[in-house]
Amino acid sequence: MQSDLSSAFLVLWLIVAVTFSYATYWAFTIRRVLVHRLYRRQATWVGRMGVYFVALSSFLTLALSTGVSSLYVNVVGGLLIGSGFIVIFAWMDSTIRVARLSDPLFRDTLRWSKLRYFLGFGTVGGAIASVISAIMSGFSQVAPFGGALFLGAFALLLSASRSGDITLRKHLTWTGLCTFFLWLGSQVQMPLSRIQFLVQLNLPDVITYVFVAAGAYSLYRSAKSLVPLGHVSIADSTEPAVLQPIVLTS
Amino acid sequence: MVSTGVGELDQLLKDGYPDKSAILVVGPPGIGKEALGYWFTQAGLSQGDFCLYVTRLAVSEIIQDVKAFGVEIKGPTVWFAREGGQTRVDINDLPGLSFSIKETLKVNGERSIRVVTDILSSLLMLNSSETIYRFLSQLLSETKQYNAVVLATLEDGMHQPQVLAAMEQLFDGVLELRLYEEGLRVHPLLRIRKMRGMSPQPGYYNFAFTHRKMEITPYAK
Repeated sequence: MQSDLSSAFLVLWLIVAVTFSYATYWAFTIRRVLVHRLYRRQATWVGRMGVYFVALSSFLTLALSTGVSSLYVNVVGGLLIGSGFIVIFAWMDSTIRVARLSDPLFRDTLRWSKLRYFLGFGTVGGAIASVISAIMSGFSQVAPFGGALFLGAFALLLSASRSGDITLRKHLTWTGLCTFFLWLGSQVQMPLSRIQFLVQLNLPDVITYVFVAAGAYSLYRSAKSLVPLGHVSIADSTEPAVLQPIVLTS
Repeated sequence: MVSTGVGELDQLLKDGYPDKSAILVVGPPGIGKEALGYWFTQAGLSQGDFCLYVTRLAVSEIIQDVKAFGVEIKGPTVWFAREGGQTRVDINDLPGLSFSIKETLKVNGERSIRVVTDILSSLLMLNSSETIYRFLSQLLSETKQYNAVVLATLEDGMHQPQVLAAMEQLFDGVLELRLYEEGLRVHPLLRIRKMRGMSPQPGYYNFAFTHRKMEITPYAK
């Protein structure tokens, strides 16, 4: 039974890690072909989010399934959770700045250009506090950015509903859903683990993983919706006109 | 014909954009379609053409972007911009904008004129597509009274497909810069959707921006 559960965890972790990695791949692939710095930055942070969650989910799976708890593990856990505050903040900041650029009136929603410095300090403070807290009382006691994810999901989905830009609306919706599922994943385990019947079947962890996997899939869709991607029709791609070699343009 | 400022593109278009034409460059945000406007302006200034740049951004933001592409806009460009230009652009004031452009063209009507603008998507976000269609239709027909070529950029994926189709109808030429997915790869491809005086072009072309240059090569799947 125990070995079946371990296999199930391994499969679930693999699904989560592969999906986050795939999202990262697409974000960096799209980043490579974009030329505007703000859009490149947005793609970069979507990719970094994927990398971050691969690292976090791998660490949590390993540490929680083996039950290891030493100072070293707590420091690594604290650093991972702490850096998550900064990655999530940078990801949201880059998305909001792109949203502003695409707004015809350049509205500075919630005066974000100033608020971001204040929130940035708060984020760094939260990151440091979570590292200290992980060292003092164990990384598993640190609630990983629950409030920030919930508020982020709310803000992103609200922005999506208001945006007149079809591509941005799609991107914000998937990004908001990703944040929402990750928040849900970080919140359900505790209440579910109080239900004895579910604990016996080890379902709280499975349900948590399912939400994280849904978050990973949403991040993948978010990465793919950074820009509209077309498909070349074979009929159109077979007759490229010949270009003579030329040396200069500017 | 009027040089695009990009050698390979001139070659593809048989020496450049047609005289007295309006060209639309369609592409997703961040792909670099504005660069075609920068090279077009640079080529115009080097030939002594009158160049008008109408932008929703501040002049300083455009200049920063121009430098990032390695383009040098040297010469007396007239700017209609949100900040820093000779005329302030208020995209809520369509009659005012139309009047300013027409007056500027009238004053410089003896010269070859190049107009570059990036305000189309913003106008479409703030107004109904019918209003912008009428506005643009009138403005483009006025500019054709002069020896002018207008190059406008439009964000792909920001508007409904029928809006995009309606806008394309107003222009003599449509260049499309898009990202195409092929398996696990993404290709930035250029396509000449239509061009006055040219037969329909079925092919796609790879394009890439290097410092001071746009490279265009034929694409085969």
